[in-house]
Amino acid sequence: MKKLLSLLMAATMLIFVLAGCTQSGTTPEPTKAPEGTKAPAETEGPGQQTELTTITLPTYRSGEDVGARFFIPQVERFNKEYEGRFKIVIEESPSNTHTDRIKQLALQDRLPAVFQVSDSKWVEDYLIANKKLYNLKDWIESKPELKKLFIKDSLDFCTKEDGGVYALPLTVLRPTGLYYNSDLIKPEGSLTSMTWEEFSDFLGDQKISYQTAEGGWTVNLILTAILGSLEGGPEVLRAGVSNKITDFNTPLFIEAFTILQNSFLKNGWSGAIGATYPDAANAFYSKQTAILPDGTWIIDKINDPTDWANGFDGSKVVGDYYPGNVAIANPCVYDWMMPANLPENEKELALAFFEFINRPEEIEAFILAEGGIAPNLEYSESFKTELAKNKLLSDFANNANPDMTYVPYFHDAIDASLFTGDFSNFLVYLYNGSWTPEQFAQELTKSAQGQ
Amino acid sequence: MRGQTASELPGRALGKFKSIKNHRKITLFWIYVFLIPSLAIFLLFYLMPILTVLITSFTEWDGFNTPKFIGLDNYIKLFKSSVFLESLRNLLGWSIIAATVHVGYGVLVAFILFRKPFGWKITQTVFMIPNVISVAAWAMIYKYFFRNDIGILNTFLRIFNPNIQINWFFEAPYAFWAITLTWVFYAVVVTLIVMGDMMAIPQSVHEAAIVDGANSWQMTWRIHLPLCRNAIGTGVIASVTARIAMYESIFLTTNGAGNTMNIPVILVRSVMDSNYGYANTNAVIMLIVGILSLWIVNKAFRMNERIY
Amino acid sequence: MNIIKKILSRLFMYFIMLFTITISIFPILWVIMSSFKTNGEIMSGPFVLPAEVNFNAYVYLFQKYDFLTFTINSLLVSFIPTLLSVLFFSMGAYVIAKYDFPGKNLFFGLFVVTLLVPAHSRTQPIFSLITNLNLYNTKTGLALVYLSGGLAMSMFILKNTFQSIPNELNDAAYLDGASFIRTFFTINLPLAKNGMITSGVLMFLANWNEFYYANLLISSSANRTLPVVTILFNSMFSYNYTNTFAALTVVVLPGIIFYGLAQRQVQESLASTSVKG
Repeated sequence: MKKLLSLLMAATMLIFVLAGCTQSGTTPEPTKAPEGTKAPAETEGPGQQTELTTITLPTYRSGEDVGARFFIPQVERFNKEYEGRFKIVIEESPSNTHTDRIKQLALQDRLPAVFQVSDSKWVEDYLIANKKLYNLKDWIESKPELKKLFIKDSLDFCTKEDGGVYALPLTVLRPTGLYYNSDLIKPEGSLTSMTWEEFSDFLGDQKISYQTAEGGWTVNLILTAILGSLEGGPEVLRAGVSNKITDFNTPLFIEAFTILQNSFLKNGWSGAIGATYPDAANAFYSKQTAILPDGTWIIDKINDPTDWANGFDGSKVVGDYYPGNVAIANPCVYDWMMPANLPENEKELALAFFEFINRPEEIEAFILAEGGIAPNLEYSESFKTELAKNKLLSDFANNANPDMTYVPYFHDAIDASLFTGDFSNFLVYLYNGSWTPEQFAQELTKSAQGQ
Repeated sequence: MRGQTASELPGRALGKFKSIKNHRKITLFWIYVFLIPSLAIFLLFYLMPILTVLITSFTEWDGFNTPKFIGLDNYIKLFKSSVFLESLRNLLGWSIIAATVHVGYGVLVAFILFRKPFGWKITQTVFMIPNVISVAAWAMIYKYFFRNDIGILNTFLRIFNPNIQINWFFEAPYAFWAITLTWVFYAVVVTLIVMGDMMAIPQSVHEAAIVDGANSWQMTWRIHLPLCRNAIGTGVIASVTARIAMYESIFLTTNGAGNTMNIPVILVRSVMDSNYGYANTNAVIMLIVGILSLWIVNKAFRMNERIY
Repeated sequence: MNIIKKILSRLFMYFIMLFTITISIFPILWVIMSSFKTNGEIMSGPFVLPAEVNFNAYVYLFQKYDFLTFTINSLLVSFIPTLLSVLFFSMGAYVIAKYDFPGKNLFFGLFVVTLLVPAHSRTQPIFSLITNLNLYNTKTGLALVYLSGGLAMSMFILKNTFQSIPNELNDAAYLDGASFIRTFFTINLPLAKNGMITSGVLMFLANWNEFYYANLLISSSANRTLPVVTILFNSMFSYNYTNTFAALTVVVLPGIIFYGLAQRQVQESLASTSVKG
């Protein structure tokens, strides 16, 4: 009996193998690396010479990712607009391995015709240094309408020493602020008009969703905002993006750590030590804390009742920026890129796609879906009415003001390993008061300098 | 056993004497043929990584551009860093625990299961489960197990001493033991290896022992344990090597806080900073420590000598 | 006196077994239980039973993902390489265990240190190998990579297994005029079944749960394997523990059941061989 069973299993296996072979034999497409394939368009009538250009686009903004909700329909709109001429096929590339995938494809010279990758340092040191990217300068110059929309800092950042522009500059900035629960605190007007001291007094016994683990994301945001509000802080953060900060034994950092520690001791919630982002967020969604520092990408999550507990009501949440009139945003990133030496038809597709996603109506749709501001775009009336319907998005729009200081994230200004490693580990000691700010600064410096 | 033919051996051996030399050649040929598949897998999947690691450990390298040769700088930097010395100390501690408590537990379970008590099959099957649970699940389980306020461990300890406050994740020396607890009892591989050896013990050995009047624990001590020497040695090598490469247990609990660094943690942090040269220096040290411990265990357990 | 000793030793045995079962089964029970809880319930009361049992997470998973295809893919890329690897590594381990030849220690040392080759250094050579063979996004490519996974561990186990087979058997076979190949296949392999299944099971389970290369080398959902689903619900800012743990349950349970069945098979086959011996 057992023998028979195992024989049967072996036979089934064999059939699977054979089926697998024939499958890959008859459909050549899945065996192809993500490179362009030319195929005659079915929709074209006889005699017409236009051919359909298809590319595959590996993206993490697909599948279960929060970004998929906007991005996948956007690609569909593009495909519809250029039906018969261009087609982008989405390839799910979960965020855990997306960066590795793009890096490996780059080494094999198989980069997809358009792509995004989050490792700026690698883009600079490898892709740009080795001339692997297409220079968008001429194209941008030929599109004055589009050029007008680009954020200046971003355009400057993407423009390199040789004058070339190697990544598509941003048109939308998504400043990160914080959320508070108006059931628990009711400030008059925006929090941005307060100093950190006033903010702490105002909070009283109410807590902030701090977390120490995994880089202490929410702590990192508050620390960034504190640094941004101090004299000389914004400059230090901005400089740190390209030259990582390794010395924290400065009056600036010690003052910032002191403010942070005061906030920990007075407004830190009890579960913060060892907490990860989900713990911190969950504390907010169950009314244990009044404040959750985070970006606009969680708006859908706030409005989703699945995780509400203890009488939490998402409609009572208000979006705002930080005391000291600070918002966090980093325009110095490489967003969309395309490789150099693409075949002509794929180049046309890539440029058409870049232009498409920066059409005013697409920019507005993006902001309505994921938040942000397009400083150089004249918003349409329909956009304004739609925006007003989304409470949190309009909160962020209304609380932004022309005097606000924008600073890049603290974690972009230090080494990645320091952020998730010792910065995160040492936060515990700052949090429970066993280290002074000076000690914290010293230990962090030691670690950053590899002693 | 099949060795019964032994009495016929001498006569036949004489007849074959002349072909022995020829036979050796043929055997040698087949030995290398048998090694080809394993060797091919090694060459395809491991040779390049090992060579890259060795060579670039002497360079400054971002992983993508041409490496820059800097001699022994990475090694000097490594040996001077206090984190590395801390890692070596921890590794020594963990290796000793692995070779004694961890392997000991695995062997104990193997001996118990070998007696086939009620429920031995289910025990053997479920013992494998911890090996197949993903990192994401372990991360959560560790977190709720070790937390100071509501963690299971402290809740349990407070039965004995209600005032206990231990932060397992960042306080030395507790952090070291927190990490130890994540693996010390999960010894299914050792159990399987040792059980395999016990099952291979010829029936005649058992029978002889029973005739000699050995009771069951005497049998375990005097017969099973010595006969499983190779398996236990193998278990020690496997578990010590696993300590050298141990990353996730640390990353998911202390992430190096409370003096719990290990070489792979330094390595991964260097990779995060695109410092591949330095990362690979750490990798070379891991390889050397691995070969060294292999050699030591081999000698200690006399593993190249045959048992039967 | 003897009776007390016996009872004590029994008690000790069952205590150890109970402890082993508890620490082993606890993680999977926790995962299964959590798949029926909301995120909030998991975090605020990690050890409390779910308030209500519903299968929403499972319904979502099975509606959204083609589990049949994923399971077939997983079986193919886990099982076939495991079969080949067990054979290959058995051949290698056999000669290392049974014969003395030049380079023996070198080869064994090389095979063993593969356990310590850091993952980051393997990514690039493997990716380049697979793309150059034009096997990117194919099950064959992934299966090829999975051939290599258990090299060190299998060498440990199989070398040990072959060493425990009495050498007289080989001597006798030689005197009987059996060829090298026949000695290996008809005398040694049947007796090494136990070790082969142990290393096979370990490799199969490792392949069955592997998601890094499954993710990196596969890009179309037609070729995806099961474990990839388990990592989709947790990224930097989005988390859905309920779905993660439901996915984990769906992936891990079949692996464990398979292991249980294989284990049973070994035990039965061993019982029969030892009677003959």
